[in-house]
Amino acid sequence: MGLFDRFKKRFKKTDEKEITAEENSVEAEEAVEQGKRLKEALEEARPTPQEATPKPTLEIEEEWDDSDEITEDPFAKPIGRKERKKARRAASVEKAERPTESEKPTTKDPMQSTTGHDLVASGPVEIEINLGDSVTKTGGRVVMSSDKLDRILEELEEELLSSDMAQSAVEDVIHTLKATLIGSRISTTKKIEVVVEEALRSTLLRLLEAGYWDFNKTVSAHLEDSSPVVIMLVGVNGTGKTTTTAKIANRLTQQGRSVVLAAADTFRAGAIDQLAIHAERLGVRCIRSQRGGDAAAVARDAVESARARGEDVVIIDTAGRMQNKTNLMEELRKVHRVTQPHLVIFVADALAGNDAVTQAVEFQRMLRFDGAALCKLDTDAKGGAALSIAHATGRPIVLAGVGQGYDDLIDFDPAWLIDSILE
Amino acid sequence: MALDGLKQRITRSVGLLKGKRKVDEETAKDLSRSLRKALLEADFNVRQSKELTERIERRMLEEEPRPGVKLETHAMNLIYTELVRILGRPREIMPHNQTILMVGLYGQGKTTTTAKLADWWRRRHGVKVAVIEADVHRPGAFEQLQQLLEGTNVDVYGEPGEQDATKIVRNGIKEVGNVDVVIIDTAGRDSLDEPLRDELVGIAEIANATERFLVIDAQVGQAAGPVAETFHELVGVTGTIVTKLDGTARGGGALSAVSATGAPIVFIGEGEKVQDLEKFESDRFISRLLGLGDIKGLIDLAPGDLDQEEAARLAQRLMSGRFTLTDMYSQMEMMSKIGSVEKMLSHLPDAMFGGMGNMSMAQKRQMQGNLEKYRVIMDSMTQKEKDEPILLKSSRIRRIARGSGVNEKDVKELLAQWNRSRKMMRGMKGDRSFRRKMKSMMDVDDMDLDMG
Ligand SMILES: Nc1nc2c(ncn2[C@@H]2O[C@H](COP(=O)(O)OP(=O)(O)OP(=O)(O)O)[C@@H](O)[C@H]2O)c(=O)[nH]1
Ligand SMILES: Nc1nc2c(ncn2[C@@H]2O[C@H](COP(=O)(O)OP(=O)(O)O)[C@@H](O)[C@H]2O)c(=O)[nH]1
Ligand SMILES: [Mg+2]
Ligand SMILES: [Mg+2]
Repeated sequence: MGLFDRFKKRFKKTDEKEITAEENSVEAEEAVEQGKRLKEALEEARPTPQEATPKPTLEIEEEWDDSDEITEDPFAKPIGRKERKKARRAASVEKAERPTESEKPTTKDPMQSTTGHDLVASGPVEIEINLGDSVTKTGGRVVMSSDKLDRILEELEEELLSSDMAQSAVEDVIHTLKATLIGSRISTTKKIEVVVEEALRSTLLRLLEAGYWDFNKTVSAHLEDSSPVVIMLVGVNGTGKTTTTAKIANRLTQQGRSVVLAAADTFRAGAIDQLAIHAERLGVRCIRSQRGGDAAAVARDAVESARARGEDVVIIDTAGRMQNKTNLMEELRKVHRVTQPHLVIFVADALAGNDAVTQAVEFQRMLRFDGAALCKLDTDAKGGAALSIAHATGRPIVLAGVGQGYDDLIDFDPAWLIDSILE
Repeated sequence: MALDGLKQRITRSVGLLKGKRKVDEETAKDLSRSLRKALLEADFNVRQSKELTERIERRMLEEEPRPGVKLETHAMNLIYTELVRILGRPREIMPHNQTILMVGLYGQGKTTTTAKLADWWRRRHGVKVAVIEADVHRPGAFEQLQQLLEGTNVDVYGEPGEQDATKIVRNGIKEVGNVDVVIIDTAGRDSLDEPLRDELVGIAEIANATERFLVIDAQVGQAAGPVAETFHELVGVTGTIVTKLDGTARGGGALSAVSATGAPIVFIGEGEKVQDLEKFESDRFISRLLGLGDIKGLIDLAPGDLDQEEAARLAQRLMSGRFTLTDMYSQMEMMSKIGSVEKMLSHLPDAMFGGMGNMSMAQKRQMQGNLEKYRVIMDSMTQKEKDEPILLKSSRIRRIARGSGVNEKDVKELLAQWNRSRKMMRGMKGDRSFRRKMKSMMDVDDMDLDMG
C-alpha cells in the first residue's frame, strides 16, 4: 500500500476537528499567530546564502608538458557487439527511443539550458510550499497545531527518509510544510489529506524540475556553436561514471554524432581497459595513455584530436575520487581547466544515503557541475538521493542509469521518481 | 574521516546532559531526538534508529548511573552497548583451507577488496592465496584484478571473454590447485535482476565456499538492509566488509546490512590501494566512533609502517607528564610514517592531541602542511633545546630560524604549538580517568568504559 493510501486510511478515522479550527474561533487566531512564529523561526534558522565560489578559472595552461605516451586506438571495428539484455523497464526503452531529430533547441546560449535556466547558477534551494487552490480567502477552516498533525508529518518524514532523501533535506521540507499548513485557511471542499498530499508532491516536483535541461537538446545547442562538445563525468568511486560514459556515447552515436572517449581515469586498476572495451564494442575512438599517466593530458589530447578530425563530442571519463581528498580534487580541476568542458556531469549512485549531499556540495564547490546523472535506479534503491542533490546544490538530475546495458540510460523523469517514492 | 561526523553529533547530543544531575522526561526526549537525527544522518535504518533511540530514552529514565559516574558518561555507555549489540560478535577468519566468495551490489568494492584480502593474508600470514575473477559482465574486470595484484605472488585466474561464470569458477578451482585461500570475485548484482541472481546461486554451488562475504559501500543508505537480506537468502552471508570508509559516508547502512544478515563486519576498506584494509573489531570501532580512541588500532595499522614500541613509549611519556619537543617530534615522525594525520588522529583519543580530533578538515590539513616545516626547524636545534624548549629566547630563536632557513615567526609558531600541547598534557596528567584510559588503551582487552 502506498504512502498516501495508508495516509488517507488513517485520516478517515481522524476527526477533522482535531486538525483544523472553525474560522474566527480563538483557536484559529492562535493558529495563525503560531504559523507566523514558525515561519519566522524557519527564516532565522536558514543559513544566510553564501557567496558563490567562482567558477574555476578557465584559462588554458600555457606550459603544458606534452605527454608522449598517448597512443590512439584507431577506429576499431565494432566486433561482435554482444547481444545486450533487453532494457528492463519498458518505460526506459520507450524513452530512450524517443525521436530527437526534429527537435529544435530553444536556446543556443551555451550558458543556458534549453529551459532558459542558467546552467551555472547554483546553491542550496530554499523550499517553498504552495498550498495552491487549497487555500481560500473566506470561509474554510484554519489548520492548527495538534498532536495528530505532528504524527502525520512524522509519518511523512519517515517515508521520505526511507527513500534516502537526506535528513537535512527532509527536515527542511517537513518544517516548511508544517509552518505553511498551520494558520492556513483551507477550503472546506478539500480534505486535509489531499491538501497535504498535493503540497508535498508539488514541492518535491518543483525541487527536481528546477533548472532541468534536456540532455540531447543541450548537446545539439552546443554543437551549433562549435565542436567538439566536451562532456566531463565526475563523481566518487564506483558510482557509474565509466558505464555512463559508454551509455552516452551509445546514445549520441545512435543520433549520428561522432564520439571520442577520453580514458582520463589513469589511476584505477583496469579502468583504461574497461573504457577501451566499451569503445571497441561501440565502435568509437578511445584516447588513452599508460596506467598512471597524466589524466589532464589524456583529456586534452582527446579534445585536440577530435577538433583536428572534426568530430562532434568528446566524453571524458575521470577516476572516481572521494570528495574529501584535496589533491585528487585538485587534479580533477586541472582536467577541467585544460579541457574547458561544455558540460560537467556529476554521477551519483541511487543507492547512496545522506552522503550524497556532502559529495554533491563538494563537487559543486570544486567544479560547478551542470547536472547530475543518477545511476543504478534499476536497483532496490528508491533514489531519494536525487532530492538531496537538487536540494543541496540547486542542480538538476538530467540523466538516469537504469541497468548495465548501453541502452539503459534515460532522461531523468522527476514525476516518475516522485511517484515511486510516494506511492 | 567517515566516522567523525557521527561522533560529533553523538557528542553534541550527549552534551545536552551537561551539568545535569537527573534526567527528566523532557531531557531524555531531547537526547533521544537529537541522537535519532545523528543516526539518520549516518544512514542507519529509519525504523532501527527509532527503536534504538527509544530504548536509550527509556533506559536513561529507568537506570541510575553507577555511583560517581556522570550522566553524560552514563549515556555514552548506553549508546556504546546498544551499538555493540547491533554489530554483533566479532569473528576471526583463519586463512587456512578457505574458499571465499565475494558478493555485493554494483560498484561496491568487491574486486578491490578481493585483492586487498589476498594481499593481507599473503603478507601477514605468509600463506598461499589465489583469486578467481568470475565477473563476466563488467568489461575489464580481469585486468583490474590482475593489475591490483601485480608484483605479488598471488595467482590470478580468469578467462576474459568467457560468458559462463560458473565455468570459470569450476576451471579456476581446479587450476589454482592446492592453496590455503581461494577468493572468488563476482559481478555486482541486486535482488531485482533475476538472471544475475541465478548466476550467483550457480557459482555458490560450485564454489562450495567456506565463507561468503558481503561487500558494502559505506555510502549505501536505506536499501542496504533489504539488499543484504537478499544476498543472505541466496548464498548465506557469513561476514560483512564495509568499504570506502576513507570518504565521509558514515556507514549506518552497512550496519543495517549486518543486522539483516547477522554476519559481523570482518574487515573495513579505507582507500583504493591494496594496502588500505583494516581488520575490524567492533568495540574498537565504536570506541573510535565515540571518541574514546585507541592506540591498539594505531599499532595494528601495519607493523611495517609504525614502530609499535615507539607508540607505547610515547604513551608512557605522556603519562609521565614530561613533554619535550622531542616527544612532539616523535609524534610527528609517527604521523609522517603513517602518511596522514587524519588516519592517525582517528585512532587516538581526542585528548591526546589537544582536541585535534575535533579540528576541522581544513585545520587538519594545515597541520599536515606544518609538519614538514617543524621538522626542518627542529633539525637546527640542540638536544637540550629540544628537551627544554623553555630555554628558547629571542637570540636562539634567531639562530634557529637562520639555520633552518625559515622566519622567526615560524619558530615561534612551533613553540606556541608545543606550549599548547604541553598544557594539554599537563592537564591530562592530573586527570586520573585519562591515565586509566591510556592504560586501558595499551591493553585494550581490559577496556574501561568509565570516562567520568
Ligand atoms: N544496475 C546498474 N548497474 C550500474 C549502473 N551504472 C553502473 N553500473 C555498474 O556499477 C559498477 C560500477 O560502474 P562503473 O561505471 O565502473 O563506475 P565508475 O564510477 O566508473 O567507477 P570507478 O571508475 O571505479 O570510480 C559496474 O559494475 C557497472 O556495471 C546502472 O545504472 N545500473
Ligand atoms: N576510496 C575508496 N575507494 C574504494 C575502496 N574500495 C574500492 N574502491 C573504489 O571503488 C570503485 C569500485 O570498486 P570495485 O572493486 O571495482 O567494485 P566492484 O564493482 O564491487 O568490484 C573503484 O574505483 C575502487 O577503486 C575504498 O575502501 N575506498
Ligand atoms: Mg570508472
Ligand atoms: Mg568488480
